[in-house]
Amino acid sequence: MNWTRISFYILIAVVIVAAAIFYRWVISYVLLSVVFAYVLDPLVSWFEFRRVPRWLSVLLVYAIIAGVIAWFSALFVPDLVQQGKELFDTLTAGETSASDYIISLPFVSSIYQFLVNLDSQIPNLGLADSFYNAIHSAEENLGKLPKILIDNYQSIISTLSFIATIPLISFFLLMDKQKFRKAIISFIPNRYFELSLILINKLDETVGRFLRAMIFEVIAVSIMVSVALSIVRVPYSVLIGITAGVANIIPYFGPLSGAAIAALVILISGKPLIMLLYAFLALYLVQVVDNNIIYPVVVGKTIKMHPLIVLLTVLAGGWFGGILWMLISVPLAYMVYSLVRELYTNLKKFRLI
Amino acid sequence: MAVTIIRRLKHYFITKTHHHELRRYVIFKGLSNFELHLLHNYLHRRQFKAGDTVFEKEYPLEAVFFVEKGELEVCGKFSSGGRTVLKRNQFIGIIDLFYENTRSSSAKALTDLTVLALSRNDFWDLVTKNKALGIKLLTACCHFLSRHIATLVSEPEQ
Repeated sequence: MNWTRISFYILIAVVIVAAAIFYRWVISYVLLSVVFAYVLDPLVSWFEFRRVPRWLSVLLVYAIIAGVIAWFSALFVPDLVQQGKELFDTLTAGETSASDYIISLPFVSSIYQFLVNLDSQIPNLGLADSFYNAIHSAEENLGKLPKILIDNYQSIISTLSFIATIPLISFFLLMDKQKFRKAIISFIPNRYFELSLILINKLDETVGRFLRAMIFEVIAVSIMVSVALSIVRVPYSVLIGITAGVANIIPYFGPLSGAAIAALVILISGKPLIMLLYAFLALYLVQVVDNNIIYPVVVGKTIKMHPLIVLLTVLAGGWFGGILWMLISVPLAYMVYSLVRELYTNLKKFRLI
Repeated sequence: MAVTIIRRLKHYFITKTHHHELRRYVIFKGLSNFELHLLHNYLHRRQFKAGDTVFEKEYPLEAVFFVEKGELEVCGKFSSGGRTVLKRNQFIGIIDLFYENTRSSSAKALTDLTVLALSRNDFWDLVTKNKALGIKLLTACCHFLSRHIATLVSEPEQ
C-alpha cells in the first residue's frame, strides 16, 4: 500500500471540503455567471475568430448588450412604467377604496351578487363577506408595497450587487474559457479522457443551445404578445406580454398562464367580454408562430416530455425554490436527462459499464 | 511618439503566438501565427507511461493524438503491415476522423509518451468557424491521406 499516495488523496479531499465550505456563499454567483457566459460565448468566439483579442471581444459583447438593453428600455420601459402606474392607481387610489372599485367591476360584481344570493338562501354561509375580505386584504398588501420596499432595502441592495457581480465573474470565465476547460480536463485520468471530451462537448451543446434559445424565445414571445394584444386593444399589453414571455419557458402551462393573466386583466378593467375572444385568438396566433417557426429554428428540437412529467417537474420546482425554480425546472430536468442518457450511451461504448 | 503609441497598441491588440512548434506536424504546417494560436486553445496535453493503452479498437473516436514525445504503437487495418510505431511529430486518428465514429485500430505507449489531443468536435468547430483555417486544415488532411494511400498501394510491390 502506497501511504504517500493515500495521504495525498486525503489531503486533496480535505482541501476540496474546506474549499466547498469556504466558497459556499458564492456558488450561486458562479453558477449564474456560468449561465451568462454560456449565453454570450458564441458571440465572443465570433469576434475572436476575426482576430479581435478575447478580452476585447468580451468587452465588445458587453457594450453591444448594454446598447441593446438601453434601446429596449427606451422603447418599452416608458410604456411599462405607465401601465404599471395605471394598474397601481386603479388598485390603490380613487374616491372609493380599491376593494369597492373592484367589487363594482361588471364581472366581479356579478360574482359578488351571485355569492350574496347564495348567502341569502343558505344561512350562515358568509361567502360574500369572505370574498370581500379577500379583495380587501389584497388591497391592504398592495398598499404596504412601498413600506416593504423600504424595510427590505438591504436585501434589495444585495440583490443589485449580486446582479452587478455576475458580468464581472462572467468576464473572467469568458476571457479564459479555454484555460478553465483545459484545467478541468487535465484532472481527468487518461482512461476517461475521450469520454470526458464527449460529455463536455455535449454539455456545451445542450446547455448553451438551450439557454440561448430560452432567452431568445422569452424576448420574441414578449414582443409578439405585446404587439398582438396592443392590436386587439387589451390594456397593459406590454406588462402582460413580458409576463407571458417569461412564463412561456414552461412548456404547455406557460402559455396558459399568459392567457389567464390577459383574461384577468380584461375582466378587472371592465372591458367587454368579446375582448377575451380577441385576446385568446391573438395569443393562439403567437403560440402558432412560436411553436412552428421560432422554437424549431432556434432550438432545433422541442422538449419532448410528457405533460404529466412537465406538471410534476414544475410543481416540484415550485416547492423547492419558488417561482424562479418553477421556470427553470423543466429545461434543467431535460438537460440533466440528456446528459445522463449521453453518459450511459458512452459508458457502454467505452465498455466502462 | 506616434510610433511608440502604435507599437504599444500593437502590443496589446495583436494576438501573439508562441506555438510555432505545432508546424512540425504536416497538417499544421501552412497555418499562420494567429491560426496556430486558435488551434492551441483547443489542444490538450496528455501523458502516458510506457505500456499504457492510449485507446482500443472499436472505442468511440473523439480525439486525434499528435505525438510530442516518446513512441506510440498502433495496431490496425490502416497501418502498413498491420502495425506502426509513431514517433515525435507524427499523429493518429485522422483517417478514422473522416471514415467512421469508432476506432479502427488500438494504440499503446511503447515508451513514456506525451501527446497533444484535439477533439473531433473542436476540429470541426475550428474548420467551420474560420473558413481560411478550415480550408488549410482540410487541404493538408487531403495531402496527408493521399500520401498515406499511395504508401499503402505501393507496399505490395516492394
